[in-house]
Amino acid sequence: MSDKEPILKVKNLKTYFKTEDGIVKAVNGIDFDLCPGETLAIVGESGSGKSVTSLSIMRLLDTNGYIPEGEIIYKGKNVTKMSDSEMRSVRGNEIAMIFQEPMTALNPVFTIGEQITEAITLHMKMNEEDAKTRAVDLLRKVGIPEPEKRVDQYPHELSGGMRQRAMIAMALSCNPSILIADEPTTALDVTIQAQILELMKDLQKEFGMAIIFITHDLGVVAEMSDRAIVMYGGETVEQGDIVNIYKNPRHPYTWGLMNSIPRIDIDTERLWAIPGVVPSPLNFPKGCKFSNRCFLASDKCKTDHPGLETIENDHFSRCWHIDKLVEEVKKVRAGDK
Amino acid sequence: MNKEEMKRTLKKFVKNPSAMIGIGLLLFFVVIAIIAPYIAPPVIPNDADLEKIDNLLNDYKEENKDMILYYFQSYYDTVYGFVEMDYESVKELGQAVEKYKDKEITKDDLIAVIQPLSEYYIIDYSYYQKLTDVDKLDGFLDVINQYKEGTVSEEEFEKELKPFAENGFVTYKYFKEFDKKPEKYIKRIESEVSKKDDLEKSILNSITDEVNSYDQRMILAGKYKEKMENLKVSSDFLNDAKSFYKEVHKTYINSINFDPYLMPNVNMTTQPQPPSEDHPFGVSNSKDIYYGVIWGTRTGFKIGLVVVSIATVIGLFIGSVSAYFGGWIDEIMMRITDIFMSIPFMLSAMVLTTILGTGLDKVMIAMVVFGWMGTARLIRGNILQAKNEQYVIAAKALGVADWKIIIKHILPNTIFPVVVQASMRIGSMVITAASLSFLGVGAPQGYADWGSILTYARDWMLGGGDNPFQFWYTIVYPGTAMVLFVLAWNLVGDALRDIFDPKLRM
Ligand SMILES: Nc1ncnc2c1ncn2[C@@H]1O[C@H](COP(=O)(O)OP(=O)(O)OP(=O)(O)O)[C@@H](O)[C@H]1O
Ligand SMILES: [Mg+2]
Repeated sequence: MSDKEPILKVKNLKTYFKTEDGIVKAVNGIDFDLCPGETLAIVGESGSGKSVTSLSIMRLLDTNGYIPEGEIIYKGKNVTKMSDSEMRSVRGNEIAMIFQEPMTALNPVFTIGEQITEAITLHMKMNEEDAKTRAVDLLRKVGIPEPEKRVDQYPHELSGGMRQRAMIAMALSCNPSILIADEPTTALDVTIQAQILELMKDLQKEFGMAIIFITHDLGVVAEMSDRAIVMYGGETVEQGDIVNIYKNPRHPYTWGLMNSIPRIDIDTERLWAIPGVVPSPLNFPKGCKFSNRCFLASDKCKTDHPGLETIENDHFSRCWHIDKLVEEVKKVRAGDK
Repeated sequence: MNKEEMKRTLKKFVKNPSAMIGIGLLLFFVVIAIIAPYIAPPVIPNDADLEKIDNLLNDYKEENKDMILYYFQSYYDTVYGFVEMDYESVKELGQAVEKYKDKEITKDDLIAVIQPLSEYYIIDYSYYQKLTDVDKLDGFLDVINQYKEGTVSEEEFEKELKPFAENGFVTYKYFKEFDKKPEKYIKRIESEVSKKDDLEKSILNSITDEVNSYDQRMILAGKYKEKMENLKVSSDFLNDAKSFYKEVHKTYINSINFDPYLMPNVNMTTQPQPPSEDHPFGVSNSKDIYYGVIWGTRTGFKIGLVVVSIATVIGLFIGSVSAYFGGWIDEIMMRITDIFMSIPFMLSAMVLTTILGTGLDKVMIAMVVFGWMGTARLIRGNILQAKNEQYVIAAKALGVADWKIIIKHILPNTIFPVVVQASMRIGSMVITAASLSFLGVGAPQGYADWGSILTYARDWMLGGGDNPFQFWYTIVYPGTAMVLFVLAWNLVGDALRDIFDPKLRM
């Protein structure tokens, strides 16, 4: 994919929030490129800064949020420096977004049709009638049965899966070149999840947009994406080609995440759980942010903050003990048995 | 909403019995309010002549024609007769004033013209008085100088000052407080006295206005006369006379400022009288309860609609500004709201009506001033909640402009609870107004208002002697009207909520 010119470049992005307890460094130095038609996954536990990253790109941060450093370059223009009206013409039109909760992401007082039409007429010169026809087409495309009927229904009359499909239809209404999907399937049950993922893949083939796929479920990542960023505490801990990350994880956190989901291809007796919980954003350990939960952690990890090291081409990890991981993992596995 | 959905909503609405009862009751009250003048005709006082004309016309006989004309003439004499009579002399006065202004005649000449007119009460005596007193101001200037030199004592000076103060040439306060700050007031008095010429001019202008108003009245009188002449030779006497009567009657009503909302006294005793043929709901405090209940419907709507709509607009404004801007603006506005809420309503309404004076409009002002906080809080809470809804962020992510988000996405999700709440409050406003009436700071004495009628029952509520229910009608009729009115609005509010709540749309 790297032969193409990237449409989105995020360089050393930092997003902070001013709060009463101090400054929350929700995102602290993220780098990635996104090429047309490519899918990038951002993975991490709750609170790792995935949503904040995507909201920074859309510039939809809460009023207490700000970007002290870093660049977000979309098609050669710095998003952080755009005027409000420029930004509005990017939102929805060039970069669209779908959200985690299909229940609440649609306005309850308007019909599905009205909401999709609003999105269409916002950026495309089209009259109401044509827009509505297009809305019906889109609903059909995202696999909603009887779109002519559904278009006049209210969100609450649709099931969760259908609502998410409607959200996708809305997001795709102006042919965006990037679609940010923030945990689009978390709130849905498993069979529906699979359908929605399938749908997104099909639509990507048809529309050719790039996708930033945010999830905490490494399982779906493998299916969906080309590359992945694993985030922890607002930082990239591992980044690279999906095959590498999946087959050859080089960060204990990634490894932990991977082994916390049931897999058929690897023979484990029981699931591995990362010990402890993500600390509050103001209470991360001084050195490696993951050190208090890491089974490899040494004294060095507790005091010194590791940098992002290149392991091989396009595969990075932020760990003092990259080499030890493979060995230790074997031991842990053996101990389990 | 499309047609299909309208039908569905309507169907749901019709099937909901309490909504139908509410609408039915409300319609009933609306109809009563509209037809009040027909089902409870106000007893309009009439001029004796006009009344006779009316009677004769209603039972018209050819031979009464002259009588009718006679009474028309008689009415003319009472209303316009003196205008005609005095017109010449008043005109003369007007000319004299003009001449005096042009310095063609002396002031004494002018006063000689005014004096007889004021003595015959053709023009107000005060004009003459003031005009003569103005000149005395010159003498008063001398007194001031003497006072300054110390040749006149303070008491004497005050005695001199008094008539000027009483006539309004000098601010009365200066006279009353003169002994406190003589130096300060002397200066002011001097400056006022030096405006003597302006004073005189304004007096002359008022006289001219008075004279000119005679012209107007003469025109009216002329018209009346002309119509009367026409009537005398009319070929269709009865109809012409009737329409002429109507016209005259209307101007008469206008001239006496008749207010149908004031309940007339129907007898002389304060003791309630039980329902009878003439007074189907009985009589309380000499007022016909039936009349009061019917016209009170109008008062109820007036109070409820006006107070609630104004209070709601104020509340909406304050609440949405607070929620939208947030920060210190929100902080200040909400603290003000808290302060208003912390003052007991009854107390503040009473204080306010004492300051403003009683009267229905004053009561309504008090109710508005202390009635907007609920709406402000409600809308603020709703907007704050809606602001963080995901669909608002989703709309932003689609590139929708801020103002459009407020109008299209936030308001529709927040305004309906306010509408519902407002409709329910319309009913309760009537109760509030009634309690104010009960406390004596509500509608003015005799105003057709359910609360007032209930107030009349205060002394009779326990009945007389051995029969506690003796005067039941003094409470039951106005009370029932009030309860039903509140109930109607509440049911309608419920129904509105069902319609507006998008989650209940099916
Ligand atoms: N407006 C805000 N003010 C203060 N802190 C915030 C704000 N928004 C987000 N944060 C903090 O930023 C951190 C990252 O949040 P983010 O929503 O990006 O997590 P996430 O990775 O998307 O988690 P999830 O999987 O639960 O969606 C969290 O610790 C959160 O508390
Ligand atoms: Mg999130």
